[in-house]
Amino acid sequence: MPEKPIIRLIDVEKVYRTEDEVILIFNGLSLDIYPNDFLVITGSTGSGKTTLMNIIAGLDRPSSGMVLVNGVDITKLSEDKLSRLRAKLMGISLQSQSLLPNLTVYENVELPLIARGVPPRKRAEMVEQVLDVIGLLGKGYRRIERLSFGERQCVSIARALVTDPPILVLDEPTQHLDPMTTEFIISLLRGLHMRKGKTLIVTTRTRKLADVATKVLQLRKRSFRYPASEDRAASPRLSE
Amino acid sequence: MKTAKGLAGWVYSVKWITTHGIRDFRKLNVVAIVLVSSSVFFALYLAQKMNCSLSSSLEGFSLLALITLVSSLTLHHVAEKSLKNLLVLKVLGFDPLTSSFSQWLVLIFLGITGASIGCATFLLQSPSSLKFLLDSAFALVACELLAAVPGFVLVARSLNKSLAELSENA
Repeated sequence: MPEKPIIRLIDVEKVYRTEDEVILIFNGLSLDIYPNDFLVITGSTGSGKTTLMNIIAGLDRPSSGMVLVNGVDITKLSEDKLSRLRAKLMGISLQSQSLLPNLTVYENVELPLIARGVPPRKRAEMVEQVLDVIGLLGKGYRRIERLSFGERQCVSIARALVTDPPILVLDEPTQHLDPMTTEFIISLLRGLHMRKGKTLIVTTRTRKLADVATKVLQLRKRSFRYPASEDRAASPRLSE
Repeated sequence: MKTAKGLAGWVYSVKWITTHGIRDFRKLNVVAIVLVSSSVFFALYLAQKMNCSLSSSLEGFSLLALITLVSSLTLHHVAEKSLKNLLVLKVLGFDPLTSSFSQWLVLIFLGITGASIGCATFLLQSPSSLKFLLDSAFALVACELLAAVPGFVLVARSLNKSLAELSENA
Protein backbone atom coordinates (compact mmCIF):
# COMPACT_ATOMS: atom_id res chain seq x y z
CA MET A 1 0.00 0.00 0.00
CA PRO A 2 1.44 3.41 -0.92
CA GLU A 3 2.44 5.63 2.01
CA LYS A 4 0.11 8.48 2.93
CA PRO A 5 1.45 12.04 2.95
CA ILE A 6 2.17 13.33 6.44
CA ILE A 7 1.42 16.88 5.23
CA ARG A 8 -0.83 17.90 2.34
CA LEU A 9 -1.39 21.36 0.99
CA ILE A 10 -4.44 21.62 -1.23
CA ASP A 11 -4.99 24.69 -3.40
CA VAL A 12 -3.48 27.02 -0.80
CA GLU A 13 -3.66 30.76 -1.31
CA LYS A 14 -2.15 33.50 0.82
CA VAL A 15 -2.97 37.17 0.50
CA TYR A 16 -2.12 40.06 2.79
CA ARG A 17 -4.61 42.87 2.97
CA THR A 18 -3.85 46.47 3.78
CA GLU A 19 -6.28 49.37 3.66
CA ASP A 20 -5.47 50.27 0.04
CA GLU A 21 -4.20 47.08 -1.54
CA VAL A 22 -4.25 43.35 -1.52
CA ILE A 23 -0.92 41.53 -1.92
CA LEU A 24 -1.15 38.07 -3.38
CA ILE A 25 1.84 36.00 -2.18
CA PHE A 26 0.89 32.69 -3.81
CA ASN A 27 -2.18 30.79 -4.86
CA GLY A 28 -3.16 27.41 -6.23
CA LEU A 29 -0.32 25.80 -4.28
CA SER A 30 -0.72 22.06 -3.79
CA LEU A 31 1.98 19.89 -2.26
CA ASP A 32 2.33 16.44 -0.70
CA ILE A 33 5.04 15.80 1.89
CA TYR A 34 5.62 12.16 2.77
CA PRO A 35 7.28 10.72 5.90
CA ASN A 36 11.08 10.87 5.56
CA ASP A 37 10.93 13.54 2.85
CA PHE A 38 13.63 16.19 2.95
CA LEU A 39 11.89 19.19 1.41
CA VAL A 40 13.81 22.35 0.76
CA ILE A 41 11.80 25.47 0.00
CA THR A 42 14.02 27.89 -1.81
CA GLY A 43 13.67 31.29 -3.43
CA SER A 44 14.78 34.88 -3.12
CA THR A 45 13.86 37.27 -0.29
CA GLY A 46 10.15 38.06 -0.34
CA SER A 47 9.20 35.01 -2.40
CA GLY A 48 6.99 33.67 0.43
CA LYS A 49 9.25 30.91 1.84
CA THR A 50 8.72 31.85 5.46
CA THR A 51 5.01 32.45 4.89
CA LEU A 52 4.66 28.98 3.42
CA MET A 53 6.68 27.44 6.27
CA ASN A 54 4.54 29.25 8.83
CA ILE A 55 1.40 27.93 7.14
CA ILE A 56 2.76 24.36 7.22
CA ALA A 57 3.64 24.73 10.92
CA GLY A 58 0.23 26.23 11.75
CA LEU A 59 1.78 29.56 12.76
CA ASP A 60 -0.13 31.33 10.01
CA ARG A 61 -3.40 30.50 8.28
CA PRO A 62 -3.87 30.44 4.51
CA SER A 63 -6.43 32.80 3.02
CA SER A 64 -8.01 29.77 1.37
CA GLY A 65 -7.26 26.11 0.75
CA MET A 66 -6.54 23.21 3.10
CA VAL A 67 -3.47 22.13 5.06
CA LEU A 68 -3.71 18.54 6.29
CA VAL A 69 -1.24 17.32 8.91
CA ASN A 70 -1.66 13.61 9.65
CA GLY A 71 -5.03 13.85 7.92
CA VAL A 72 -6.29 16.73 10.10
CA ASP A 73 -7.13 20.07 8.45
CA ILE A 74 -5.13 22.42 10.67
CA THR A 75 -6.67 25.55 9.14
CA LYS A 76 -9.81 24.77 11.14
CA LEU A 77 -8.10 24.07 14.47
CA SER A 78 -8.17 26.47 17.42
CA GLU A 79 -4.84 27.96 18.58
CA ASP A 80 -4.91 25.65 21.64
CA LYS A 81 -5.26 22.55 19.47
CA LEU A 82 -2.60 23.86 17.08
CA SER A 83 -0.15 24.30 19.97
CA ARG A 84 -0.79 20.75 21.16
CA LEU A 85 -0.33 19.44 17.61
CA ARG A 86 2.99 21.30 17.28
CA ALA A 87 4.15 19.97 20.66
CA LYS A 88 3.34 16.42 19.56
CA LEU A 89 4.55 16.38 15.95
CA MET A 90 6.88 19.26 15.18
CA GLY A 91 10.19 20.74 16.11
CA ILE A 92 10.38 24.33 14.89
CA SER A 93 13.33 26.68 14.46
CA LEU A 94 12.35 30.17 13.34
CA GLN A 95 14.46 32.58 11.30
CA SER A 96 14.54 35.05 14.20
CA GLN A 97 15.69 32.13 16.43
CA SER A 98 13.21 33.34 19.07
CA LEU A 99 15.33 32.22 21.99
CA LEU A 100 14.56 33.70 25.39
CA PRO A 101 17.61 35.91 26.14
CA ASN A 102 17.23 35.80 29.93
CA LEU A 103 17.49 32.03 30.02
CA THR A 104 20.50 29.78 29.71
CA VAL A 105 21.12 27.44 26.78
CA TYR A 106 19.90 24.52 28.88
CA GLU A 107 16.68 26.31 29.91
CA ASN A 108 15.92 27.32 26.32
CA VAL A 109 16.39 23.81 24.99
CA GLU A 110 14.29 22.41 27.85
CA LEU A 111 11.19 24.49 26.96
CA PRO A 112 9.43 22.13 24.47
CA LEU A 113 9.84 19.30 26.98
CA ILE A 114 8.09 21.35 29.66
CA ALA A 115 5.26 22.03 27.19
CA ARG A 116 4.98 18.27 26.73
CA GLY A 117 4.92 17.60 30.48
CA VAL A 118 8.13 15.50 30.51
CA PRO A 119 9.30 14.86 34.12
CA PRO A 120 12.44 16.79 35.27
CA ARG A 121 14.87 13.84 35.40
CA LYS A 122 13.95 12.64 31.94
CA ARG A 123 14.18 16.24 30.70
CA ALA A 124 17.75 16.63 31.94
CA GLU A 125 18.73 13.42 30.15
CA MET A 126 17.14 14.50 26.86
CA VAL A 127 18.63 18.02 26.96
CA GLU A 128 22.15 16.68 27.66
CA GLN A 129 21.78 14.24 24.80
CA VAL A 130 20.74 16.85 22.24
CA LEU A 131 23.37 19.36 23.41
CA ASP A 132 25.96 16.64 22.87
CA VAL A 133 24.70 15.99 19.33
CA ILE A 134 24.76 19.67 18.42
CA GLY A 135 28.19 20.25 19.98
CA LEU A 136 27.05 22.47 22.84
CA LEU A 137 27.69 20.09 25.74
CA GLY A 138 29.39 22.05 28.51
CA LYS A 139 27.78 25.32 27.37
CA GLY A 140 24.37 24.59 28.87
CA TYR A 141 24.86 27.08 31.72
CA ARG A 142 25.68 30.01 29.40
CA ARG A 143 23.15 32.78 28.83
CA ILE A 144 21.86 33.23 25.28
CA GLU A 145 22.93 36.87 25.14
CA ARG A 146 26.56 35.76 25.57
CA LEU A 147 26.57 33.37 22.60
CA SER A 148 27.69 34.07 19.04
CA PHE A 149 25.08 34.13 16.26
CA GLY A 150 26.16 30.68 15.04
CA GLU A 151 25.91 29.21 18.54
CA ARG A 152 22.43 30.70 18.94
CA GLN A 153 21.40 29.11 15.68
CA CYS A 154 22.64 25.75 17.00
CA VAL A 155 20.65 26.26 20.23
CA SER A 156 17.55 27.00 18.17
CA ILE A 157 18.06 23.77 16.19
CA ALA A 158 18.78 21.82 19.42
CA ARG A 159 15.49 23.09 20.81
CA ALA A 160 13.68 21.88 17.68
CA LEU A 161 15.31 18.44 18.03
CA VAL A 162 14.97 17.87 21.76
CA THR A 163 11.53 16.24 21.73
CA ASP A 164 12.61 13.90 18.91
CA PRO A 165 9.63 15.00 16.75
CA PRO A 166 8.79 13.21 13.49
CA ILE A 167 8.64 16.54 11.59
CA LEU A 168 11.31 19.24 11.68
CA VAL A 169 10.47 22.68 10.34
CA LEU A 170 13.52 24.93 10.05
CA ASP A 171 13.49 28.46 8.67
CA GLU A 172 16.85 29.43 7.12
CA PRO A 173 18.96 27.25 9.49
CA THR A 174 22.23 28.18 7.79
CA GLN A 175 21.61 31.90 7.35
CA HIS A 176 24.55 34.12 8.45
CA LEU A 177 26.62 31.11 9.50
CA ASP A 178 30.30 30.64 8.73
CA PRO A 179 31.16 27.89 6.20
CA MET A 180 32.28 25.42 8.89
CA THR A 181 29.09 25.73 10.95
CA THR A 182 27.04 25.59 7.74
CA GLU A 183 28.70 22.29 6.79
CA PHE A 184 28.08 20.97 10.30
CA ILE A 185 24.36 21.89 10.18
CA ILE A 186 23.95 20.37 6.71
CA SER A 187 25.56 17.08 7.74
CA LEU A 188 23.46 17.05 10.92
CA LEU A 189 20.25 17.50 8.91
CA ARG A 190 21.35 14.83 6.45
CA GLY A 191 21.96 12.44 9.34
CA LEU A 192 18.55 13.18 10.82
CA HIS A 193 16.94 12.46 7.48
CA MET A 194 18.91 9.36 6.53
CA ARG A 195 19.56 7.67 9.86
CA LYS A 196 16.63 8.82 11.98
CA GLY A 197 14.01 8.94 9.21
CA LYS A 198 12.82 12.44 10.07
CA THR A 199 10.65 14.50 7.77
CA LEU A 200 12.46 17.77 7.17
CA ILE A 201 10.99 20.99 5.83
CA VAL A 202 13.70 23.60 5.45
CA THR A 203 13.69 27.04 3.86
CA THR A 204 16.89 28.42 2.43
CA ARG A 205 18.33 30.88 -0.08
CA THR A 206 21.47 28.87 -0.70
CA ARG A 207 22.05 25.97 -3.09
CA LYS A 208 23.98 23.85 -0.59
CA LEU A 209 20.94 22.63 1.31
CA ALA A 210 18.96 22.11 -1.87
CA ASP A 211 21.70 19.75 -3.09
CA VAL A 212 21.12 17.28 -0.23
CA ALA A 213 17.30 17.47 -0.28
CA THR A 214 14.99 14.84 -1.77
CA LYS A 215 12.49 17.48 -2.93
CA VAL A 216 13.03 21.12 -3.83
CA LEU A 217 10.26 23.67 -4.11
CA GLN A 218 11.41 26.81 -5.88
CA LEU A 219 9.31 29.87 -5.09
CA ARG A 220 9.66 32.87 -7.33
CA LYS A 221 9.17 36.42 -6.20
CA ARG A 222 6.12 37.42 -8.11
CA SER A 223 3.71 38.65 -5.50
CA PHE A 224 0.98 40.64 -7.15
CA ARG A 225 -0.56 43.81 -5.75
CA TYR A 226 -3.89 45.22 -6.70
CA PRO A 227 -6.18 47.86 -5.15
CA ALA A 228 -8.38 46.52 -2.37
CA SER A 229 -11.47 47.65 -4.26
CA GLU A 230 -10.62 45.70 -7.45
CA ASP A 231 -12.39 42.50 -8.31
CA ARG A 232 -10.18 39.57 -7.21
CA ALA A 233 -11.40 37.41 -10.09
CA ALA A 234 -9.36 39.58 -12.43
CA SER A 235 -6.08 38.71 -10.69
CA PRO A 236 -3.70 36.31 -12.38
CA ARG A 237 -3.40 32.79 -11.01
CA LEU A 238 0.03 32.05 -9.64
CA SER A 239 0.81 28.39 -9.35
CA GLU A 240 3.99 26.49 -8.65
CA MET B 1 -2.63 7.40 35.35
CA LYS B 2 -2.52 9.28 32.05
CA THR B 3 -4.76 12.03 33.47
CA ALA B 4 -2.58 12.36 36.60
CA LYS B 5 0.52 12.59 34.42
CA GLY B 6 -1.17 15.18 32.20
CA LEU B 7 -2.25 17.19 35.25
CA ALA B 8 1.26 17.06 36.72
CA GLY B 9 2.65 18.30 33.38
CA TRP B 10 0.09 21.11 33.25
CA VAL B 11 0.86 22.17 36.83
CA TYR B 12 4.56 22.20 35.97
CA SER B 13 3.90 24.37 32.89
CA VAL B 14 1.88 26.85 34.98
CA LYS B 15 4.58 26.87 37.68
CA TRP B 16 7.32 27.43 35.10
CA ILE B 17 5.59 30.30 33.27
CA THR B 18 4.56 31.97 36.55
CA THR B 19 8.01 31.70 38.12
CA HIS B 20 9.74 33.00 35.00
CA GLY B 21 7.14 35.74 34.50
CA ILE B 22 8.12 37.04 37.92
CA ARG B 23 11.86 36.31 37.73
CA ASP B 24 12.72 37.34 34.18
CA PHE B 25 11.21 40.84 34.21
CA ARG B 26 12.72 41.89 37.51
CA LYS B 27 13.00 45.64 36.85
CA LEU B 28 9.57 45.93 35.24
CA ASN B 29 7.96 43.95 38.04
CA VAL B 30 9.63 46.03 40.76
CA VAL B 31 8.38 49.23 39.10
CA ALA B 32 4.87 47.73 38.85
CA ILE B 33 4.89 46.78 42.56
CA VAL B 34 6.13 50.26 43.53
CA LEU B 35 3.36 51.94 41.48
CA VAL B 36 0.60 49.73 42.89
CA SER B 37 1.85 50.04 46.48
CA SER B 38 2.13 53.84 46.19
CA SER B 39 -1.43 54.17 44.88
CA VAL B 40 -2.74 51.92 47.68
CA PHE B 41 -0.78 53.85 50.33
CA PHE B 42 -2.04 57.25 49.15
CA ALA B 43 -5.63 56.00 48.83
CA LEU B 44 -5.52 54.68 52.41
CA TYR B 45 -3.85 57.87 53.63
CA LEU B 46 -6.46 60.07 51.94
CA ALA B 47 -9.35 57.91 53.16
CA GLN B 48 -8.09 58.19 56.71
CA LYS B 49 -7.61 61.95 56.40
CA MET B 50 -11.15 62.31 55.04
CA ASN B 51 -12.34 59.98 57.78
CA CYS B 52 -14.17 57.69 55.35
CA SER B 53 -14.18 53.94 54.90
CA LEU B 54 -12.85 52.64 51.58
CA SER B 55 -15.63 50.10 51.19
CA SER B 56 -18.72 51.95 52.36
CA SER B 57 -18.67 55.57 51.23
CA LEU B 58 -18.79 57.42 47.95
CA GLU B 59 -15.36 58.98 48.53
CA GLY B 60 -14.02 55.53 49.40
CA PHE B 61 -15.41 54.04 46.18
CA SER B 62 -13.79 56.85 44.18
CA LEU B 63 -10.44 56.07 45.79
CA LEU B 64 -10.93 52.35 45.06
CA ALA B 65 -11.70 53.21 41.43
CA LEU B 66 -8.47 55.22 41.31
CA ILE B 67 -6.45 52.29 42.74
CA THR B 68 -8.05 49.93 40.20
CA LEU B 69 -7.24 52.31 37.35
CA VAL B 70 -3.57 52.73 38.33
CA SER B 71 -3.15 48.98 38.96
CA SER B 72 -4.87 47.90 35.76
CA LEU B 73 -2.81 50.28 33.60
CA THR B 74 0.38 49.09 35.30
CA LEU B 75 -0.48 45.39 35.03
CA HIS B 76 -1.63 45.82 31.42
CA HIS B 77 1.82 47.24 30.60
CA VAL B 78 3.49 44.26 32.32
CA ALA B 79 1.30 41.88 30.31
CA GLU B 80 2.18 43.70 27.08
CA LYS B 81 5.91 43.37 27.80
CA SER B 82 5.67 39.65 28.55
CA LEU B 83 3.72 38.93 25.37
CA LYS B 84 6.80 38.33 23.20
CA ASN B 85 8.04 35.55 25.47
CA LEU B 86 4.59 34.01 25.65
CA LEU B 87 4.39 33.96 21.84
CA VAL B 88 7.70 32.07 21.71
CA LEU B 89 6.29 29.57 24.20
CA LYS B 90 3.24 29.18 21.97
CA VAL B 91 5.43 28.28 18.98
CA LEU B 92 7.12 25.66 21.16
CA GLY B 93 3.83 23.99 22.05
CA PHE B 94 2.60 25.73 25.23
CA ASP B 95 -1.13 26.11 24.74
CA PRO B 96 -2.52 29.68 24.91
CA LEU B 97 -4.99 28.83 27.68
CA THR B 98 -2.24 27.64 30.05
CA SER B 99 -0.04 30.63 29.19
CA SER B 100 -2.87 33.17 29.69
CA PHE B 101 -3.86 31.60 33.00
CA SER B 102 -0.24 31.60 34.21
CA GLN B 103 0.21 35.23 33.18
CA TRP B 104 -2.97 36.12 35.07
CA LEU B 105 -1.41 34.53 38.18
CA VAL B 106 1.71 36.66 37.64
CA LEU B 107 -0.42 39.82 37.40
CA ILE B 108 -2.40 38.88 40.52
CA PHE B 109 0.85 38.21 42.38
CA LEU B 110 2.18 41.65 41.41
CA GLY B 111 -1.09 43.39 42.31
CA ILE B 112 -1.48 41.67 45.69
CA THR B 113 2.21 42.14 46.56
CA GLY B 114 1.97 45.84 45.67
CA ALA B 115 -1.22 46.24 47.72
CA SER B 116 0.32 44.38 50.70
CA ILE B 117 3.40 46.60 50.65
CA GLY B 118 1.17 49.69 50.42
CA CYS B 119 -0.85 48.47 53.42
CA ALA B 120 2.29 47.58 55.42
CA THR B 121 3.78 51.03 54.75
CA PHE B 122 0.52 52.65 55.79
CA LEU B 123 0.47 50.60 58.99
CA LEU B 124 4.06 51.55 59.79
CA GLN B 125 3.20 55.20 59.34
CA SER B 126 0.00 54.91 61.39
CA PRO B 127 0.16 51.85 63.71
CA SER B 128 -3.21 52.55 65.33
CA SER B 129 -5.06 52.12 62.01
CA LEU B 130 -5.13 48.32 61.96
CA LYS B 131 -8.93 48.13 62.25
CA PHE B 132 -9.40 50.70 59.46
CA LEU B 133 -7.01 48.71 57.32
CA LEU B 134 -8.72 45.39 58.00
CA ASP B 135 -12.06 46.93 57.01
CA SER B 136 -10.57 47.91 53.64
CA ALA B 137 -8.58 44.72 53.00
CA PHE B 138 -11.32 42.82 51.21
CA ALA B 139 -12.08 45.76 48.89
CA LEU B 140 -8.37 46.17 48.08
CA VAL B 141 -7.96 42.48 47.19
CA ALA B 142 -11.06 42.68 44.98
CA CYS B 143 -9.60 45.77 43.24
CA GLU B 144 -6.33 43.99 42.47
CA LEU B 145 -8.11 40.89 41.14
CA LEU B 146 -10.18 43.15 38.90
CA ALA B 147 -7.11 45.13 37.83
CA ALA B 148 -5.45 41.95 36.55
CA VAL B 149 -8.32 41.28 34.12
CA PRO B 150 -7.38 43.72 31.27
CA GLY B 151 -3.82 42.31 31.15
CA PHE B 152 -5.19 38.78 31.11
CA VAL B 153 -7.64 39.65 28.31
CA LEU B 154 -4.81 41.20 26.26
CA VAL B 155 -2.67 38.06 26.61
CA ALA B 156 -5.54 35.64 25.98
CA ARG B 157 -6.70 37.55 22.87
CA SER B 158 -3.19 37.91 21.45
CA LEU B 159 -2.29 34.26 22.01
CA ASN B 160 -5.47 33.20 20.27
CA LYS B 161 -4.44 34.94 17.06
CA SER B 162 -2.00 33.51 14.56
CA LEU B 163 1.48 35.07 14.60
CA ALA B 164 0.98 36.60 11.15
CA GLU B 165 -2.32 38.15 12.21
CA LEU B 166 -0.53 39.72 15.18
CA SER B 167 2.27 41.19 13.09
CA GLU B 168 -0.27 42.47 10.53
CA ASN B 169 -2.15 44.27 13.31
CA ALA B 170 1.10 45.63 14.72
